[in-house]
Amino acid sequence: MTSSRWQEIERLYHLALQQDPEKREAFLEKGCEGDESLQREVKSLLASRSEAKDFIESPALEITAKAIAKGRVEQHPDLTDRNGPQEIWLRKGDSDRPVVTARNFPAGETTQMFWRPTLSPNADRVIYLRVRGASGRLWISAASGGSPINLTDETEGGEFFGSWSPDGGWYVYFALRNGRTDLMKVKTIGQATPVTLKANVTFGYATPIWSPSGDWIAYGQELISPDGKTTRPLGSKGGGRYAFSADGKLLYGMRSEGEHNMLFSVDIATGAEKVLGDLGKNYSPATASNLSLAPDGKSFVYDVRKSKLNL
Amino acid sequence: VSLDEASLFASRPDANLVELDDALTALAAVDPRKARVVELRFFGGLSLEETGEVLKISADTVWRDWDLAKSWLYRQMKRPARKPR
Repeated sequence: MTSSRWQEIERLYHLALQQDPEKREAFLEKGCEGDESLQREVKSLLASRSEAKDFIESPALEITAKAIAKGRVEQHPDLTDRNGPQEIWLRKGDSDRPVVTARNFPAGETTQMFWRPTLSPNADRVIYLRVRGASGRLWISAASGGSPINLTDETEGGEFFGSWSPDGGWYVYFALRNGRTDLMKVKTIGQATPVTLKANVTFGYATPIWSPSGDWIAYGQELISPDGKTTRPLGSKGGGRYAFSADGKLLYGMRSEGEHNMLFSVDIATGAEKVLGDLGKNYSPATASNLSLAPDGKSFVYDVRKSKLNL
Repeated sequence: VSLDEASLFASRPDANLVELDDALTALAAVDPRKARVVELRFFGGLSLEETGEVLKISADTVWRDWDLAKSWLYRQMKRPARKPR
């Protein structure tokens, strides 16, 4: 279909809608000037319109939330290349398609890898990083599938992964631009304008993490309030990978001191530090992943690079 | 999957979203902006005004795009699927 043909269909469609329903037929008869194909096309669209009142009126996210409520979608994103290009799936869901695949991205625009998919607290959206050139960009996809959308409206610099706020409304992450690192937060609606929480921070490599109570964000060597107005230094306690206790009152952390990997906790209210143990030189964290605390709060998981010596 | 089922994605949301995604790809070939409006409104959950801000068009224009895109997609999904060659 040519562009001018489509524009004519669109024009007549909207003009016909301004007519009383009983006068539309006559209006189209006259407006289409004997072009029967044009008249059929517009009439067919108007007929669909009358049947499609509720069609896609509920956002995909709500549909997914209903599916989750019915237990159809499980809560874990799963990254796989079993079908060739990388794909993100929801583990144990009954979906017959991935949430998003490398095929959703134009060839050459980004590399074909997904980095660190993280599911929203109510499991309706997934945020992940893809690399274009030398810079990362954050993307968001509805868990029910569909087209990926850039998380932010930024066009310059790079973005690095972070974590969701407990209510799912925000995402905190590092932005790398003009040779410096800024701690940012952005609404999770897609293509939103990010807000700088703190400019020119120490990158520190580890991912910023939002407390379960929503009061604090831990990153690098300090805690910062979600409005960016209050900071609390972690001092010598900082610099590591973190996990909040389920009630948000304790921050667990791991930092390297020479050949030691120290596990410690910080009481958020008092700032008191308690060293929990030394995990030894062979168990340094391998990536920017934070510690992942077990639901019972008694153990945690993190990744370690296995050396040839270990093998 | 019939369109009756598809209308509210009540029984098999994933399967119907596949059809919608296919229809959206076809719409993008005809009118990329309308496809983008649907992406932002349906998949992104944006309001008319928010969609207008992203696309730098008025909320009225978003509404007109949305109205026609819905009719077009609904009709597209109702058509029998072409068998692969």
